[in-house]
Amino acid sequence: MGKPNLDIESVSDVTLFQEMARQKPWALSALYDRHASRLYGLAVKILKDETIAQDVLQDLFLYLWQNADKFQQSRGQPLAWLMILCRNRCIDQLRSREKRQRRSTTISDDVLRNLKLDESESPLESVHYNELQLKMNAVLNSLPEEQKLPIQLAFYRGLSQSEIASELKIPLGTIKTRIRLGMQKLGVLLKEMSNQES
Amino acid sequence: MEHEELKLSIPAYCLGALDEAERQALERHLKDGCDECQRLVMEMLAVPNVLSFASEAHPPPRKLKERILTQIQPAKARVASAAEKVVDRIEEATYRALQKSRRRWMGASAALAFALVVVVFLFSRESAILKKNLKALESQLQFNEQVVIQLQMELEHRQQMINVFQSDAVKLVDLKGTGPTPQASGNVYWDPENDKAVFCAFDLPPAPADKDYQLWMIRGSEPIDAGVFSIDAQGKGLSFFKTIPEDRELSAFAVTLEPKGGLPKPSGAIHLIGTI
Repeated sequence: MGKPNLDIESVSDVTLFQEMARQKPWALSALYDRHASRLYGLAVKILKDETIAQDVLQDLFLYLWQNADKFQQSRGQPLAWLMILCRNRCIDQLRSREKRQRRSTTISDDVLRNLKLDESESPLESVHYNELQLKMNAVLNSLPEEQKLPIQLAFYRGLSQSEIASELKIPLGTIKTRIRLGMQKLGVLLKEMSNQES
Repeated sequence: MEHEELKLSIPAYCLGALDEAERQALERHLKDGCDECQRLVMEMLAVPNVLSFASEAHPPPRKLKERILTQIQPAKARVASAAEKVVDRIEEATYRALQKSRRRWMGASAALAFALVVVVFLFSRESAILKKNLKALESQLQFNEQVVIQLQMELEHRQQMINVFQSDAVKLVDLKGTGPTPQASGNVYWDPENDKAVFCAFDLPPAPADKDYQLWMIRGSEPIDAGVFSIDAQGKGLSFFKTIPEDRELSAFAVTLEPKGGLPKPSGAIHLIGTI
């Protein structure tokens, strides 16, 4: 199988997954070229270690290659769940590095495959990714610090609510409330952003 | 836990911040079919989806992509690595033998100095010959490993073709020559149950040096790349390709002549076509 030499940019991610399911290495190569920088950026931000981030990325792309037949059935924005898969792997790495007891609070790969992320109310389709990065930072920074910090600890360090409560020395009930309010606020802001774009 | 309490835990669930027992309780509730909670999960999942995008893009080192692409050819990589280990062991054994020989001579008396010089000279010459032979053997070994890899791949390829022919589910699709090659013909032996197929072409003229014949699967009105193939001196071509479950709705196969390496979508004239 030769590598197609034209129009690779116009091939959708979903098609690349279909071609990977047909064992076409050029499709994996194209998917990597398209998304590796963003995935690697997230991995480095979470892990703060480029060598381990590279291992995570390698593991992720090999997993995608081996399971492309399952993923290609998903529709919509594959980058959204690629980012979640990448984040889950980074959190697993952090846990094993910090020798924290392993618990599966992240949503499993199987569950992710079955979720139709394009049906979730995501503004991904209409916003360019670089623009989205700026907007997300603005949205996060618009939260009060007391809500932003627990959300960041959960998202970037994979801490559970009780671990966050213990780290910040704040009652568990308070942390639960702050996370809930912060997430609800982010949800509303994202919806507004999505409506403005459309 | 009650519905209202579980509903409050959805934001933390989507963030992956629930403790194990809480997560299990919520997932049981979702599995029981609570529509309201399922809808809330779908809505709230948008938050972690886009939170990931708050991090800056950062290009990984170039060697990482090479490492990944090498890894997806496991058989070849494994044999190459095994060959390297064999060569390392040969080099180590040779080195030890040389060390041992040197140590033996270190205790010899001055009276034997002349003899030693002569022997060392002879040994060096012998050693140089041995090293040369070793290099030749290493090259031969590497060549043989490559041959073994090629043969293994070919064998695997042939076995997969035989499996298609032997399948009870195999469908035969006849392709007829059209356009510039009316004399040509072809067959696709397709096993939709196992998502594998073999394509044979006959009486096709050789492709120009800058072009390849490319096989397409047609699903609805959409052509899907099934790979390029070469033609031998007798005008025959043979290729094995994989399909996916969605391809079970295929309606036709076709062959076009495309730029070297093929294209994601056909651009050239149709040379062979056959409906299912």
